[in-house]
Amino acid sequence: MPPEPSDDAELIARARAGSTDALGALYARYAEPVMALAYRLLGSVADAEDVLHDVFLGLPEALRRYDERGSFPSWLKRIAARAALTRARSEGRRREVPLDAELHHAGSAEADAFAARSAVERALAGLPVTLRAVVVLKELEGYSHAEIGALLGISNAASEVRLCRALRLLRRAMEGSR
Amino acid sequence: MHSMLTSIASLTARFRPHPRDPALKRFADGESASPEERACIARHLERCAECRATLSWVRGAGALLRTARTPAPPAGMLERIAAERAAGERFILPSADERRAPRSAPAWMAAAATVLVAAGIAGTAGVQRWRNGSDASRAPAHAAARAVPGDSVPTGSGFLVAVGVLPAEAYAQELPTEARGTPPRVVGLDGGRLRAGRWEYEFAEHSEKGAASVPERGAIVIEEAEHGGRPAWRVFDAWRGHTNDMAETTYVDRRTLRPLYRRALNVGYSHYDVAQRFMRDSVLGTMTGRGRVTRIARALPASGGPYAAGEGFFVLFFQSVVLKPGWSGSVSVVGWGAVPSDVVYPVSIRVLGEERVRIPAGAFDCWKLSVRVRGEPEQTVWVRASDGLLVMSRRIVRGGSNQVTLVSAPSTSTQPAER
Repeated sequence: MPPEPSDDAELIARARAGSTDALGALYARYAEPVMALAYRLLGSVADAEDVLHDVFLGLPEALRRYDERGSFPSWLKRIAARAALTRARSEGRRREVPLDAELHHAGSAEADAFAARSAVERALAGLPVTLRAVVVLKELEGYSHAEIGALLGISNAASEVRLCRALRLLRRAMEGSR
Repeated sequence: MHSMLTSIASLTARFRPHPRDPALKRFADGESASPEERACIARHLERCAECRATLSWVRGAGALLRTARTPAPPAGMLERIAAERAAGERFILPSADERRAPRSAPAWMAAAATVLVAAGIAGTAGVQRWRNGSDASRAPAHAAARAVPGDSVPTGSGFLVAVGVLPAEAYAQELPTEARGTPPRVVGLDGGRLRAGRWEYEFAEHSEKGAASVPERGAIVIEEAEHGGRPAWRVFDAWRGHTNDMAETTYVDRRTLRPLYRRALNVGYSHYDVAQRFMRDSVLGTMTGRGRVTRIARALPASGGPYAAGEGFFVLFFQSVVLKPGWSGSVSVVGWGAVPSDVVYPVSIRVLGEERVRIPAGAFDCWKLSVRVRGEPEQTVWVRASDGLLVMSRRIVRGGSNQVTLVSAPSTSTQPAER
């Protein structure tokens, strides 16, 4: 259920003032998208969990810098993306292969769907992090190249080029997997 | 005839260059750079099956990628976070709206962008000990344990970050370094006007309805010292509250206030150890952590001065400059310097007028100033007109304000608070 913006505003104010309940309510609403974004950017469950942890541990203080001009979910996601990208650059991050535990349903449409999905997941996970970031932010999060450029510290043109390289690699990986 | 035309078309297509990938992708997204680009690609597509296949794949990519599963948040995470927050742990996140990041951010940025404060380690006794102390040797126990012989003080970063006069580390890293439209550089800083002592401040958030957060306390201790055989001020600043646990030592030239040396321990969540030496037109040093050492070697061009280092700098600064109506000036705050984008932050300061300020510590006749770090929201700062005592700093935020207020000043260096 999409949260009411006004509810968010109240929760934000309370979380900023240190309310654990309000932080919990924000977590209940937004932990899932934050986790999903971090996982997509990092390709590792453990790393994504660390980002989720850091984002909500630091949220009450970070909210001091939230000026409420834009939507809270996109603000939060930008922070999560930054935290994830920062982590991606760090040496200490854990590496992992993607989920493929559910691949063992054979001989049905469902099995094909699972197989296809895990091929996408494998292809995504196989991308270098700099390319994956662009493809995730553009294709899944709807960022503009200008926004991606600002996040990654690259030019718009570089973002476009990376996106295309990522798509080409994804296509090759997907077609190779069939 | 028709088939001949078709084969000519496909032949032509073979010799015509395919559109470049970004142009094809823009076409797919309906974002062609120009009507000409769009028309040119449309014509090419009519003849080129290969590009049509690419276009089709590219158009379906988003939907395909959305089928990739993502894991759910792990059970117990919220409880873990709540317990850690209750124990005093914090995490300073990067800002959502930073400007462009450096092209290749090294690993330490991850840490510089975040400060994990394990206040629980030192415990309440540590806080008390430190608060009651008058010098660096009473710093929090866990931080003191990290101190290096010869450096009496542990450090991090934070007083003026909390004040809001300086940007938090998290976004300090990514401010542009060029200074355009800044007021003239401050000249004639006179360290001779400065006296030793201890200043205490309190940081709180105030809502429009008058509610205030539990205040955090910070202190700045200025002492006469020597560094490299020359007279210096040793400036210790520390901030200890429910969000930050920070301290830092800086030596500045006794007369000009030019930074000579800065030591910061516990920087970032990886507890980086930063040492900076200011030599003529350069800052040199190391940032150590995560098992590696990053060398710091950055130019500080004379045109960018005067330079300031250390969170306590503005307490010194306002005591060392003669303000008057219409005064404006700029200084540059030096960052950690381990990456090119974190070297210099121009700060513009302007006298707005005079104002009498009443705070719990007393009533003060002040200069009201605007202080602006490039790219950051403006701060309003009040300093006592008679001696430059930093009385209050306020930053308006939505729904209220963040405020730093003087709690106590050394009676030896300033007149007692005017009641």
